Order: sequence, then structure tokens, then C-alpha cells
Amino acid sequence: MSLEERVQEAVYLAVDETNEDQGEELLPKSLDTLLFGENGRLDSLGLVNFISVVEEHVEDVFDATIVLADERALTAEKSPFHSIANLVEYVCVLLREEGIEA
Amino acid sequence: MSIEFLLRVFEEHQNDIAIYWRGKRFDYRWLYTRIEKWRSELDELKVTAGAVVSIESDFTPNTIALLLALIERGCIGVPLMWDAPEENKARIYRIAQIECAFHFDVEADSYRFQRLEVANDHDLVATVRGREHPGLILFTSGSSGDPKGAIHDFTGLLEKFKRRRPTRNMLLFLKFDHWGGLNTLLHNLSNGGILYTVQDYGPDSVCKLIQDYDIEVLPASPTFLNLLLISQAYKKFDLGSLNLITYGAEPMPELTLKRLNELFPSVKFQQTYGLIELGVFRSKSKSSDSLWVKLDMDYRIVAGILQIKTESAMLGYLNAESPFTEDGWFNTGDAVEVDGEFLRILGRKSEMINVGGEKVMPQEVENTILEMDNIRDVLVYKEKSPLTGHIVCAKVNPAAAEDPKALARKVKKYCRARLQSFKVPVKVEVVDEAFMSARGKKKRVI
Repeated sequence: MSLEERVQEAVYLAVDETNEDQGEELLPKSLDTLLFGENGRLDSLGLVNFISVVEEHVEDVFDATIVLADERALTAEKSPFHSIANLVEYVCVLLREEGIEA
Repeated sequence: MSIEFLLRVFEEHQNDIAIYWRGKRFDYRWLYTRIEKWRSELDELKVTAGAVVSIESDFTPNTIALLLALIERGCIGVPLMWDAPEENKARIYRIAQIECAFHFDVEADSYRFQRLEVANDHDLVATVRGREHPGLILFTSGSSGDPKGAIHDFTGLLEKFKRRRPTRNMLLFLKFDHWGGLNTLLHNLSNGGILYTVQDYGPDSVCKLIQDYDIEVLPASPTFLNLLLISQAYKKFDLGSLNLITYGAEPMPELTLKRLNELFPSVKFQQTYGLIELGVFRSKSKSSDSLWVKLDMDYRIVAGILQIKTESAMLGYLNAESPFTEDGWFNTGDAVEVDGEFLRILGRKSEMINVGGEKVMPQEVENTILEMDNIRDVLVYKEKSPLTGHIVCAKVNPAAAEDPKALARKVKKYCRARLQSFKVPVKVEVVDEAFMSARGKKKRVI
């Protein structure tokens, strides 16, 4: 399985957990799901929570600690929080920086 | 002489017990004589009026007598807990510019004297010396950076103890380096009461003391009372003598107070309010199970924060800007709610968590989490977030081992059902230890 696929799986686990906690399908399980910003399904508080859950699942799967919400993420030209696709891509970048390839 | 009124009480009560310490008793005659002996020892050691003197100890018989002898002599006393971390002591020595030190061995009740190569040149110390009054320097625990040293004129502080009041068997539970402890000490001594000293602050030991000495009054901290509930130490000992428990120094969790009232229906619960900078005030709780309290002093609320004006206020900080407003009010930094003449102390404004402009007091979240089964202790604190300013985080200590991930989710779920969404912890960490600091308060700086 590629790194992208494994990250996607971890993010989907976070999606499941978030939907379960909210008691509704807040986030459809799709790369196209918009998270934050125009037409996004999360408000800032929802995003903070979702990010925290994603960080936990990434840590479980890859045994690596990543920080998703920081200045770098917020000022990135292509926002990691715009959609699930962007988020998966950004997590892969961070993991590769940690020397994790797959 | 500033302690003359105390010496008169000691003479009247010379055959009565003054201090219980490590199973031994000391009567008022002993205390009177020991103060006399200190006079000549202080002469020999050349400890003169106005000297800034640290006492590294705890409530031991010799320490109590020394403290009184130093007040009588017009020295400026700095009580420090003997077991404070060396690094903290070093900072305090530097800030207070301590000139003489008494290092006590608290088990033997013996001391080592040290003269330091320091000549105190602080303006506020000069003010106290100029008045030819005794002084007192106490330190705030300081959540970050150096602790702040508050200097008091002791003469003003002693005033309220001149009026005789009834005494009851009271445990000297609060610490030696804090107003709570000094207040209990002076209240008892000025009324010929008995000082029951505590060496071990664990719930079992404290309950045993209450049972053995028919203690009627327990001045405690909410954190200790929580520990008492969790340990169930009250089941092993007969606490029937207790009729008053006072609590202060930090906000009381609502549920803790409720459970205490259920467990001890014949005990009255009374909230106290005191600050290192101002002393301890007389206060009255609305009822035993109420967190609303009436404070007997001049106060006003500015932007939700309590400000106090009192004669017993400190002169100022040794190492920080004056916290007084131009018209002499002290800004307590405590957020409060008001209902007529009653106040509810919510907690330190500095601990307030700001989530996207919404304010969260950690205690409210802690109280909610404490309602859950299997939670022994909880600490709620803030972390910075670039998205919302702060996020609410919690560390929980379960009573019985539980899968950490499942417990963390359970905590969030429980909060989500009961609190507004911005108050729900984003991160929940499961830890093995409880969170009481040396002073019996929670430290919310992680």
C-alpha cells in the first residue's frame, strides 16, 4: 500500500470517529469532502477537533507525532484544511519529512 | 512591643497545652520561656531589628517561638517550607535579599544559623524599617517565572487578633509559608487555643489526627478534600468530632462540595478567601452546600474581576509593579459572579481559556469531568492554537486502569452532552498521577 493510501485510511478512521461522535454523517468519506472554508462542513471549532483526531490516528498508524495546525499549515498557498484530499496530501508531506515513506 | 497582647494570653494560659507536635505536648509556659530564650540567642547571633530573616522550617515548637521572637524584635520574617525545591529557595533568597537564615531540621527541631553577605537595600524594606515595625514577606507560588514577594507591615496584620474569640480544636493543616497557616497559628495563640501540627498531609494521617485529638475544625484546600473523598479515608476513622471544614485558596468543585455535604451532614462548610497580598478575610458562605460567599471587606467588581481595598494589604511586591490602582484598590485577578451581596469566585483570570473569543474557566470543565465514574482527578488547561487562540485540554487520572483511548473518548462524549461545544476538551490525555502541587493547589501551567 502506498503512503497516500495508508494516510487516507488513517484520515477515514478519524472521519468515522468524528461522525460517530457527532451522531450524524457530518463528513462524507470521500477525498472531495470540503472541510473548512467556502462550503466547508466544519467550523473552526469542528476543525480543531477533527485535526486533533486525525493527529491521533496518524500517530497510531505511523508511530510518528505530527502537528497539523501551525503557522505553516495556515499560511500554505494550498490550504491543507480545504478538503480531505488536501489534508491527506499534507500529512504525506509531513510524514516524508520525518523520513516515513510507506 | 507588638506581641505583648500574645504574651499576656500565654501567661493566663501557662498551664494549658499550646502545641501538639509529633506526639509531644508543649504548654504555654514552655512557649513563653522559649521566647525569652530566643531573645538572648538572637542577641548572641546579632540579629537586630529590621534584619531580613528567613526561617526554613515548618510548624515546629522552636520555629513558632522564633517567629514570635522575631516579630517582637522588629525583624522582617520570611517563612519558607524547609522542603521547598532548592532552586525556588535560591530565587527567594535573591529576591528578598535575605540577610540571616535559620535552617531547621524539622524532625529534631534544631537549627543552623547562617549570616549572608547581603545588605538589604530594597525601598519597601526601608519603609518598614523606618516605621520601626516588624515585617513579613510571603511569596506567591507564581505560575511562571519568578515567584512574587509581597511585603507586609506585621503590626497591621496583628491588629485583628487582639480581639478575643472562642477557639475550637483546629488542625494546623495549612502551610507555614502561607497566610492560611499563619492565620490559624495566630488565631489559636491569641486565644489560648491548641495548635495541632501536621507532619504527614496524606488523607489517612490527617483523619487519624482528627480522630485522636477530637479535632473540630479542619481548614483545608478543595484539592485535599477531593483526595479525602477518593481515598475514602473517612471510612477508617471516626471523624465525629468535626463540626467545621473551611476551604479556600482555589475554587471548590461543585460536586465535591455536594458529596462532602452528603457524607458529613453535621459538618458546616465555610468558604474562606485570602491572598498572599492581602491576608485572610472573614467570610460567610450562603449555606454549607453553596459556593456563594459574602466577604466582609470593601470590594468592587471591575470588568468581572474582583478588586479589594483593605488596611491589611501589603506595601507592595519586592520584584513586580504595584498591583494597586491609583485609588488604592488591589486587583485580585479573580473572576467573580455577583448575586446581591454574595459572590462566587470563578477562578484566576490568567487561567481563563479563550477559545475563539469564548471564555472557559477550567474549573467548570473539571467539575463536569469529575462527575464521571472512575475519574480520580482531572486537570484542565489551555494550549495555544493558531485556529482558535486556545484550545481546552484535559489530563485525567482514572481510579481504576482503563483503556486510555476509550476513556479519552468517553470524557469528550460526556462533556459534549453537557457543555457548550467550545468548552469540550479537544485533547484528553490519560495519566497515572494526581495533580496536587506542594501547596495543595492545582497548577494549570503545563
